[in-house]
Amino acid sequence: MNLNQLASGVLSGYFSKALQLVASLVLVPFLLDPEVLGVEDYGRAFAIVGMTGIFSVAIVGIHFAAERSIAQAVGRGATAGSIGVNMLLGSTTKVLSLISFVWVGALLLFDETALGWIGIPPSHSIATH
Amino acid sequence: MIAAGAISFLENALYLLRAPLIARGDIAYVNLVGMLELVARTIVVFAAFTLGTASVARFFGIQAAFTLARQLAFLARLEAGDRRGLWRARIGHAADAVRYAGPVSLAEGSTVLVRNVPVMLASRFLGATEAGYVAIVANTLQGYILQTFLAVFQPVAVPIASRLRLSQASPARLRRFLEIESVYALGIAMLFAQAILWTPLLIPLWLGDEFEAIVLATQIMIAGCGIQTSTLIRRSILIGHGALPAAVPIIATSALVSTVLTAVLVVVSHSWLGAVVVATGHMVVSSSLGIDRVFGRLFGHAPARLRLPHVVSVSALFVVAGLLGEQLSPDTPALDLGVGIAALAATGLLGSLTIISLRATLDVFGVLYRARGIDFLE
Repeated sequence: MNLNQLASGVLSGYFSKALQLVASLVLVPFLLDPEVLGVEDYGRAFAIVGMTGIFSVAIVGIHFAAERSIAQAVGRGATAGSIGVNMLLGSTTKVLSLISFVWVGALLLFDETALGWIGIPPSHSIATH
Repeated sequence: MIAAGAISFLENALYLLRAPLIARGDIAYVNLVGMLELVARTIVVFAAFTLGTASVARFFGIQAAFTLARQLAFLARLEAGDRRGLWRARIGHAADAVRYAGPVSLAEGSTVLVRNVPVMLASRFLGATEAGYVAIVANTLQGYILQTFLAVFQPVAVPIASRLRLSQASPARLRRFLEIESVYALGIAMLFAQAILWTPLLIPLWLGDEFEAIVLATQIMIAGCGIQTSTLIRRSILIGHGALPAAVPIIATSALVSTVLTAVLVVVSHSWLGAVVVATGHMVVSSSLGIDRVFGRLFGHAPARLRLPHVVSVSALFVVAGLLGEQLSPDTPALDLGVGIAALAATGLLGSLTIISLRATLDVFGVLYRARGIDFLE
């Protein structure tokens, strides 16, 4: 990686995040408007996101470790005996898919119970699919 | 629930599709896709909720569709060799990643835990409005602040840090690296100090006067994010050197204590503000006693006129900014501008005493300007 790639990556990243900031400056007050979602549904939405995403506690380490392995595999190129990027990517994605599928599948199977855990009654409109 | 589950699945299971692109330096493409997704998604949300009925289910549905589109865009960009045999790869090849993942999961997963638990508990025990306040401070704002730095620097810093061998660097090169790192920390501390300063004016301006209730919580959260962000390079170096496990016991313990205290404060004291404060406390403890302590033990610190623990140096700048922020008023813009400039000068002066001197900072900028690549550190 040369300095130009690094600089373009950081600069485009900042541009991207600046754009995200501008979008959220407009979108968040819009969503918090009682005529749209309101602060209550906004809170409920994040409680649901928190519950569906909390299993990533268990796999965020795989993200980091695999990123590191892939970066090192890219750095050393295709050398004899080394595991290729495709093998690392494919195998780790399978592991991540399996764990994600089990957690998300269980939540969907018992969705009323899961919503009850975060204080959202099953009859509430946002609980409907 | 189906759409929320789909988002979670797509984000986590397909997370690594971007990794080869970043490792090859195609970061601009990754960022471009993210930008296009964001713009299109925002427009669709506005259009859908203005023309039709707004609901959380529809919001999640739109997000899920765009998450899928983003991941497909990354898949399409992979080199043919990266895609060849992707689906035939044996799970055994992931053994190394899974083996190393345990300690990293404990360290990085603690952030996920501390960020998600308060809003879930607030929703369960306090009510939807309090959950909304926690969501705005601890999820939306904290997410934007951390992502702004983490999402930009971490994908760049981790591959670089995995190549840098600081443990084998000469004393002169190690010292130069520590100076660069300290300049970064000073810049971050001054930037976050300004954010803390202006929060009392910006929150009501942005969300309306009814959201003044979240100002103090937001300032506290920004301080925690500032401390965590200021140790980002150190964290990346530890990850790159495989040294993060040494910091894990403190980080994991801090996350568990923080989660239990959050539960106590929410359930017993019915305090959403307390939950935000405790979550911030985890960021401070894990950054100082975890990352900072291990990094200092392995590589040392850049020289400063007044040697204080990193977290104390950075926090001092934030306290000054918070106190000055109390003087701001929307009715006196000229005075506010003066307070802002005074805060910049005060935090810069304080930082030059406790983090890195102004002369060393200028010297570092000179070196970076003359450098043609990062090889001077390798």
